[in-house]
Amino acid sequence: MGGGVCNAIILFHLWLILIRDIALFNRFFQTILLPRTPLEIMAVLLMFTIVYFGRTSFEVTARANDVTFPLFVLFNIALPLALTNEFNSETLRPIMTAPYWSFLASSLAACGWYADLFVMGAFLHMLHSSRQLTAGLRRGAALAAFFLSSVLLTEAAVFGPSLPGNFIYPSYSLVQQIHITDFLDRVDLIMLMVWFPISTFKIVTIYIAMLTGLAAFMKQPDHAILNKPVAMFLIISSIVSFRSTTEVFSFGNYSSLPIILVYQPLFLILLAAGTRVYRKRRLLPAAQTAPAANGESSASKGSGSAWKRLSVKYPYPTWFKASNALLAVLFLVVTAGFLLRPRLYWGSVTCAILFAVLMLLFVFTTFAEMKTAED
Amino acid sequence: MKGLLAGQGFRYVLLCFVAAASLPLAGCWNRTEVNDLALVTGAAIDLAEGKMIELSVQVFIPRTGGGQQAMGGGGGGGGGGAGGGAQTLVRSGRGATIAEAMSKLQEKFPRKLFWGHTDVFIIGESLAKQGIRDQVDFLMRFPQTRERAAMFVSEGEAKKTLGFHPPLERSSAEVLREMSKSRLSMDVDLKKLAQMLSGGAGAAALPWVEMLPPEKGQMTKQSIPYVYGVGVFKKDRLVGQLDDIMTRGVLWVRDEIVKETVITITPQGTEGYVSFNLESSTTNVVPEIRDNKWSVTINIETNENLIQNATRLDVMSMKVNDSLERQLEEEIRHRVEEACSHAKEMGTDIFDFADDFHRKYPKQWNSVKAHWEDKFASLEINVATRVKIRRPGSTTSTGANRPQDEVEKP
Repeated sequence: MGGGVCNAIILFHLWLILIRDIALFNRFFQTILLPRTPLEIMAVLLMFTIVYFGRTSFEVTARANDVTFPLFVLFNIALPLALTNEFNSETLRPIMTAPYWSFLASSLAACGWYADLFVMGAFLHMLHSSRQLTAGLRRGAALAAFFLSSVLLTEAAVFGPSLPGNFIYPSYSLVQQIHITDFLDRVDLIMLMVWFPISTFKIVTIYIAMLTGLAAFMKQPDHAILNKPVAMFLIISSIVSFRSTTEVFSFGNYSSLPIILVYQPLFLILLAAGTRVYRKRRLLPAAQTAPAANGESSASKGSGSAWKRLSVKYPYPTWFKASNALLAVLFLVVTAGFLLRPRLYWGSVTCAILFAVLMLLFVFTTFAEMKTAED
Repeated sequence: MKGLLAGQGFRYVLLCFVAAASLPLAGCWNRTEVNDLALVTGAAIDLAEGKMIELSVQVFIPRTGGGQQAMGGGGGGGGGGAGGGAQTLVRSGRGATIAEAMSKLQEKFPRKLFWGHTDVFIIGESLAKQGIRDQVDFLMRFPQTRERAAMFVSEGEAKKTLGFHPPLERSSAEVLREMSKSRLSMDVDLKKLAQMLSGGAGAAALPWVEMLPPEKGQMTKQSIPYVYGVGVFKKDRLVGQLDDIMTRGVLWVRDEIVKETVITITPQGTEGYVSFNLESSTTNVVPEIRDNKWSVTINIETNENLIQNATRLDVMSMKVNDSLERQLEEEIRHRVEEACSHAKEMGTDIFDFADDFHRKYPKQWNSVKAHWEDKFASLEINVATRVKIRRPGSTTSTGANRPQDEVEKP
């Protein structure tokens, strides 16, 4: 009963995420690319896509994503380089002079979107190693934080701090600024060729999570049986839920945080407490996240790939602790930057540069975590 | 057929039918052939009678063959010229806003206006004096226009600038675009204009466009618009203009001066002129607040190349070189100070000193940002210049055409 209620709440949240993402996706392409195409037609075409991927397991989506994600990473890394000629470093200063509360408010608003990571809970049963799952989730979060920070920095350097706040689609406006001679101009459509599948796979992932949850809720062995009716319901509800693009953005920007605050903290506490109780009663096996006793993998002593050799000297727990330490230092650096600013002009600048460097290191350590977690 | 319609077969047939019916739906509504588009290369925005907005567009005429001559269209109050291989035509529409004017303008075209290739927007003088914020709102909001388009303000009616048929370029819009790229005057695109209008300084500057009179014997339309100075905006209204010389001063302060800039001076104690070409320049603006007194020091370091010596001075002499450097420093300082004093008279901080103070003294800036104009008027501006003459060109003192005994030795 209790599990059913929790499941229902999570499914409701997943539904809200999906209608938001589908509505945003359709309205973006309607505004930018296809202004005369009816929203319903674009929604139906998206429905066919998610029905297609929803017929099979998540592995198909993951493998398809594997093809486009490296391109996406490449574009994100290339974006600041392609816009170097538009950079104006003066627009980035002064650094960390905004009030503390505005910084906290902007971070809190983004928390709601970060909490979308919760959907990965639907795929826990697919992996046998909880260590790999933890490492994968941490790496994904670190990459997302890094790329978001990079895009925000580029936006501030190109447009200044006030213009991006007034754009509906600031990343698209940013890409339109790329102009490396007349040859590399108007590359926004090429960027869209990569963004489109990445955004679609995000929607498909959450959709499959929803199907998995629904199948468990209805005690169905296979979620494919629910595929078409759920997809149709989703598409119709995404169309009728919002009257305009303004409503979609209002919902996306302001509702995510209250929604997650209503249930997620309590849910995680109950889950942790329940896991402990069950483990005490020995109803669950021991957790696999405990570090190995001697820190070495039996299969990787001095042989295999470079990472396997490295994991002998620096095993998974080392990288795990390093990532945690870096995360703590990142918070300290940000706090120090705010505290130093009134007294020392270059203090906050140094903290900002340190933040960027530590963020890069954090991405690397989470990558190393994932590599060494395979042992 | 019976087998197809039974059970699983029917489902596959239905699926194929649905897929086949869905595929043509993608992009169907937005399918537009290229030859159904009218490419707008430049647009002019003027104030018409009754406070209406007149939007004029210059549309590119695609040529289909070598022998075909395109006749310039003359509808709607804007002429594209008469024959002679005109490659563009100009038409106008009026409305309460640009958006309304655009819809009226569309009625005069058999093709759909496409704004994605509009490189140039020119605002007329009378409209600029009334305020340009509403117009910039449209340009930033409309999805087809691009923030990289160059912005200008014209003397008189902006529409006139579009009607020319320049001999070298395809259209007058292209002439202005290339002039903007050369950066002999300010290079302001839509993004930069929006930044200036929303910035702390509350001032903006746009390149000022005038019409070059045609040469003797040339047709009226065979001329070009050209850039001469900048129009200065307070908030979003045009309040004045700076000429070419003062614009150079502005460019120096903004660190936007480019290599093609030439300075000519008359050296002391001699007749004639010496001209220099800018090789490189760095400007560093240092704001300072001391004892509640706000001041700004503009440090300019430039490297110059001597390109013409129309005097008898021995330019290979280090003593003469030093003297010329001092005089150049004085000339640059004078230009910059004049530009600054004019800007102060107009109460427009087009140099963005506001942001310089904001970066260095954010706390003090917050206390004055509401009345920055008053602070700017009382701002002490110090100019420090340092010039180095790097190269004398390809010849020595005589210029390879003057007898040695005519050269004045120091």
